[in-house]
Amino acid sequence: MSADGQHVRSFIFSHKAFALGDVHFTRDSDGSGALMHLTLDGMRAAISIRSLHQAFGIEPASEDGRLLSLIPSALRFVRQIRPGDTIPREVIDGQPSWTVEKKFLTLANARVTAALLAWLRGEQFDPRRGQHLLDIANDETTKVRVREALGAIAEKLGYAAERRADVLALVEQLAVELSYIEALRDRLLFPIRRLLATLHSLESVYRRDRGVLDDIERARALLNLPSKELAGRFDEIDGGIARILPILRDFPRRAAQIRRARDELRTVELLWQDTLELWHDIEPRVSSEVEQAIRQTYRFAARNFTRSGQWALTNR
Amino acid sequence: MAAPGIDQRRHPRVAVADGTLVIGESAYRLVNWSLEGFLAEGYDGPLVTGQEFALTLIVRSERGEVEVKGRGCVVRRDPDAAGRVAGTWQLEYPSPHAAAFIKLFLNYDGITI
Repeated sequence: MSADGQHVRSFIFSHKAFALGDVHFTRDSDGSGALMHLTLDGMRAAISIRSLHQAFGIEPASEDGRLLSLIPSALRFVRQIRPGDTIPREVIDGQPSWTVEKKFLTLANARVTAALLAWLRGEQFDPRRGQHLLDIANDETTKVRVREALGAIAEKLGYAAERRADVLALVEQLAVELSYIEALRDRLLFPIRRLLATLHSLESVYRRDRGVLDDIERARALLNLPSKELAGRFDEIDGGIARILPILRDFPRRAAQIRRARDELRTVELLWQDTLELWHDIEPRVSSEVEQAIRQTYRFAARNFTRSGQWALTNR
Repeated sequence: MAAPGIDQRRHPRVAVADGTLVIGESAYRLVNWSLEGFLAEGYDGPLVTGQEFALTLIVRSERGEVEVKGRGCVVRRDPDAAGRVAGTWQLEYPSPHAAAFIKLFLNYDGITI
């Protein structure tokens, strides 16, 4: 909040230090803090923001001090911050600062509908059958059955049967929350799997080049575990909606859990983004472009996933 | 005349745990530095006292990392003491703003810009 009680929406600093030399902020190497970068008259610096308070006499309770304190959490959602940039909404009110395509809302709707249908039939819901989910959700009979069941669900939730609209609103809201998870699955998990498959196929392409082959094997070995852990995280989230009624009954708390998972996965996406983009249009054949991508991927893997302790998804 | 042991420098030297003096393509360990002076060791090059040269100073500390380009002048060489070379330096483009940030890496507090 600013001094006049309004929510501050942008990183607008008043201290002159932030108006000089192309200032921008990034996460520091261990991810717990942030660095302020600037280039000025033959000098380049990356300054720990913790040291800015003392060095420039910026009080933690001042407007600039409060903005600085928001930077490490804001950098979980954007890769860099420049003075004047908007503060990510996740930091202000928990809403996502990014949008998802309609197809992911459709997929999330299908997942919720399939979970409701499983409950109606008294069956076990299998959240991993993606295409099957869409088939179910697009089926007109299913839609009618779910609409008709809203009254029964309302009663199960302890509402009057007439409050179908409230149940429908909850179901729709749940699908909105899950649409971000679907988008992240598509933008993060699937490309990581494709990258590992590409590296695997490159092992035979480069079988006669020991140097390149070593880098491929090391990169695969390092990336395999985070990939599996990430897949496990998505399975965990999917498994969480298999029992749909407890979610609707305890919606605010469960929605907050989904949002935390969304933000955590978004941070992981930012970590992987450059590496995944690197492989986006690359043909898996012998070329200097492929060899450079392999080297960069190995460096990324070694920097982020060399295990010295428990990997916590981002390892940062 | 100052009493023996009194540091007459205008700017106090700060010990450097992780720093480098780069001259040309060679790098030497930076021992200490200030806003206008430096001491490095391991130097075995041709510079002599009074000679000017282009330099880069790189310092890493808990406050971060800074790289500055400037002009140096050799004040003293002591080849027998681990190749120590002491000198003065100034920014390539003298700038009060850049100097303010360099002070941060020299552990100054309450710096004004």
